[in-house]
Amino acid sequence: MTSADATLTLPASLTAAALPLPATRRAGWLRRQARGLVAIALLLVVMFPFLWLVQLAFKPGAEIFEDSLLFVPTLEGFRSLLQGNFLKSFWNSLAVSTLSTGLSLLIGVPAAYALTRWQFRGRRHVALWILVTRMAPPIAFTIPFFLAYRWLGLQDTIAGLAIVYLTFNLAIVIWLMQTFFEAVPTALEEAAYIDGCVVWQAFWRITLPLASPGLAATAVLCFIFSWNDFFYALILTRTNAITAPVAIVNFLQYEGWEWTKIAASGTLVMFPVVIFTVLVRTYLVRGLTAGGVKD
Amino acid sequence: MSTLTAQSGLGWEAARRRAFLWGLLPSLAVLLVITLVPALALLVASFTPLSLTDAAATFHFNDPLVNYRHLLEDERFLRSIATQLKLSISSVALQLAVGLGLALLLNGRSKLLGATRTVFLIPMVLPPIVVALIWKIMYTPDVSPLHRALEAVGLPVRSLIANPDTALWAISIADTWQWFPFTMLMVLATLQMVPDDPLEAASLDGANRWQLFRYIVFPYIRPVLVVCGLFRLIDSFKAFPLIYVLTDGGPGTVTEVTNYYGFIQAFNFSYWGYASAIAMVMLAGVFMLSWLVGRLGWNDHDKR
Amino acid sequence: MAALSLHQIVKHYGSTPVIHGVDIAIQDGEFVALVGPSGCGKSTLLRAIAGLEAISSGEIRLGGRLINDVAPKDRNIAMVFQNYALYPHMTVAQNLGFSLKLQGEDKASIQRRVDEVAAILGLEKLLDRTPRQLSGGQRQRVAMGRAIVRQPDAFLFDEPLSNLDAKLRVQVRTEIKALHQRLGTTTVYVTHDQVEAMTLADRIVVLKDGVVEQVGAPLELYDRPANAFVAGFIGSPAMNFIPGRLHLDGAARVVTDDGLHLPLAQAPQGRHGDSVLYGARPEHFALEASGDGLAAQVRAVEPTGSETQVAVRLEGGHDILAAFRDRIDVRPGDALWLRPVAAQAHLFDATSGARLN
Repeated sequence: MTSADATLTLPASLTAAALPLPATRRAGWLRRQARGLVAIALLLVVMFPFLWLVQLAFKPGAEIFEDSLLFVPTLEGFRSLLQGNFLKSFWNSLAVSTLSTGLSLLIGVPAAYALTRWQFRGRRHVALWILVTRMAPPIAFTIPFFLAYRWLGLQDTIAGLAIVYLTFNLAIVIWLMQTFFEAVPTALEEAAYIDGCVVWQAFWRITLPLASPGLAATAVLCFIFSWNDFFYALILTRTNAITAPVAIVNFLQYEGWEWTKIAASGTLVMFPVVIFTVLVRTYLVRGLTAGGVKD
Repeated sequence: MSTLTAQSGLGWEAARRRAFLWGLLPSLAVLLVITLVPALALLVASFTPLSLTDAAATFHFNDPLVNYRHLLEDERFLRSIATQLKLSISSVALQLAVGLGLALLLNGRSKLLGATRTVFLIPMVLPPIVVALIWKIMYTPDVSPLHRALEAVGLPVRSLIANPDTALWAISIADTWQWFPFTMLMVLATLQMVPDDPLEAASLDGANRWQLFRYIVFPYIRPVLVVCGLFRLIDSFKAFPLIYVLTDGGPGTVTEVTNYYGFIQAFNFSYWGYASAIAMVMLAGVFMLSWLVGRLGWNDHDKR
Repeated sequence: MAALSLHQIVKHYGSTPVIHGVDIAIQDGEFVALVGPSGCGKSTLLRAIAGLEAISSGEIRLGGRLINDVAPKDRNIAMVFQNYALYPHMTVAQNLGFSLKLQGEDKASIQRRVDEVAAILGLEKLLDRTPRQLSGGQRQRVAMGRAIVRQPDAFLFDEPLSNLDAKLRVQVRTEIKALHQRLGTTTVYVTHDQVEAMTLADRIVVLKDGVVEQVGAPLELYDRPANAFVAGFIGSPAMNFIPGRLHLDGAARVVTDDGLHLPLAQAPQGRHGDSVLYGARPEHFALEASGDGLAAQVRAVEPTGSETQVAVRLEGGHDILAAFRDRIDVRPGDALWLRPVAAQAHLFDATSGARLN
């Protein structure tokens, strides 16, 4: 770069640091910081109920009805969860969510790819169908599934629950992966065809690796939606396949109002979800509006 | 990319088509089995007075429309629709307002704002049961810091969820708390796409911040707000854990929304036929709204 | 290496025909360029040869074998794409060896072959890099390497140089030509740049709207274009066209409506009074002494170093570009006298564009 490109440098006496801020600039600074300050204030106000739950989980049982925020944190609440059914329900949640995610990806990813590269009439109808499955109130599916599972013996099983979760997870996978596959240029697949691939070889070796971040994000979203489900689990499980969200409710109904236990179990149940969310926050919008909104 | 006008069943094009079909078939088959078949079963069940007490005997079609006729006369059902509408509309309106407000506030590029945006996502991704627990604590006077704070200030308030006049509002607030991040995210994403030029031009022309918002920014985000509203409206029909944990439909049936009423009919009373009819009505409503959402905010997949 | 023949190729997109019965016979080892404006169907034809697009009717034969319904991978052709289409998640070595890996070759022989090809193209030091880390010219060479590795019967190039800057373009062009001389593989090269076609090809196929306008050696197309379109397309700067009427009374000539007389060497096809287009290339104008030939006013002077291009306006408003090897000292506004060289003049029918002389 020649000297002509060098930026003008003011003599030190004229730089901003040396001069006092004029009044208008001072007010401007405050206004700019005001936004951040208001944001933090609102954050504390809005997140207060959430934070209250988390701190309650660490409070010693005796002090629940006290107001003070100063207390010696204890893991008493968490330890009490180890007895009884709760740990098992946590495992069940993990098993069901993983199984459901795996099944949804296995079945949905190839379908998403086919829909992306294959232009056929009736795509719109398929899209609407997928949208409706996502939107339908669970009650519409639980009644038939409940009756069917009684007959099929899938009542209160992990597999049974995972299958039901396909009703919304499959739609999510198909919708999201379509957008990720669209981002892979077809020229790459064509080069692969010439190099010696058949359709699904090119998909496996070229398209899928290039869409893998999207695949990961989709898997996480499926996991979150499965993990969070309450209604299907409530109806379709009893004691064997009971998942964590339902198990917590048992604390409310059968074991009395043990607030630390409730708070502790709530904190545990939400923990994986919050972590995952931070990881995939950019894809969250797409996942939650699957089917309904222009990307 | 060529279209499917190639002739023969031989050849690369045909092979490709077959490959895609094989990829699509499992999903179609599964979706068929787990969505269309249950939907049909629901429809069929709604035409019978099927119930647990005598499943075999009650599975008949002597009077197919008995459930639907009963629905029209069932006061509890009709009240549940009113309750559902009250809850949905108030909650969605609040969500839109809060979401919009926060989006406008947090639309900036600093790291701080970015971090706060992420934290604000939490209510939306929490398991709904946890949200219900959080608000159960907030609404139970013995343990709620809010109640105790109000008491300390000299304004003791009775439990909101035990009071028939305020119960629905309490749920509405909890629901808003849970779902405002959705609108916030959507509006934020759209705000980022507002081009700078019209804003700068108007600013130079002398517009103040309110005018900038009203005439330039708002027209941009109005479609998103509409779609958000519709989306949340449809989703609000599913509201369950909040009601289950906070009020159990009560006091009385004041917070009993249609979804909850259906649940009670199906799994408390085991009137599966009747509950199926309720579910069909809900499904019809959801279908129409989904179709509307699809028309308004269609993803451009099939236009490419 | 094999001969490639396209026989009566027709293609429809839906109900719209885009290729209307194209016949091209390419000999073993020949370098043929497909040129034409956007939308003429050249890329479609290339993709049809590759098997990426289906044809509605016609026959494609490679080495005598009918390959209409054969999958791209079984046609034994290799393609170099406009945007390189290198696999972003693989190294250069993996990109080059991909096709061999799919064929089930063992690691050692793949490595050997990859090294051979890398040596030919000067890619030895880049083998462990990913495409993202390469410059445009390097990527293009890897794309070519990927094609060479397969030792195919034919190379297909789809506008490979359009993404490169001017200087690089000339360089890679020379490399492509050297490669063809070295390997001797049948090559089909699609481009919209007729200079590329002229310098690289043994024969050029000019396409317009899905129809072959002319096939021939570069100089053949240059010296004797079959119609006005080819005449205007081949050659840069382009041929000048002046509309007029054919006069056969006395010496054959073209007379414009404004009374300009444009000379012809001999009587062409056509009748007296026919509407015609007179074509003269910029380098086929001679400077005359004042008063002889056509009066022209200089509008712009563009010296390119090797020649001087002068944009002039003739009487009657006809704008002409003339090019002279010698340096001339003229300025805009000056008056000049030009005479088109009759022996090099081209004559085309005004309506059909067909060549008349």
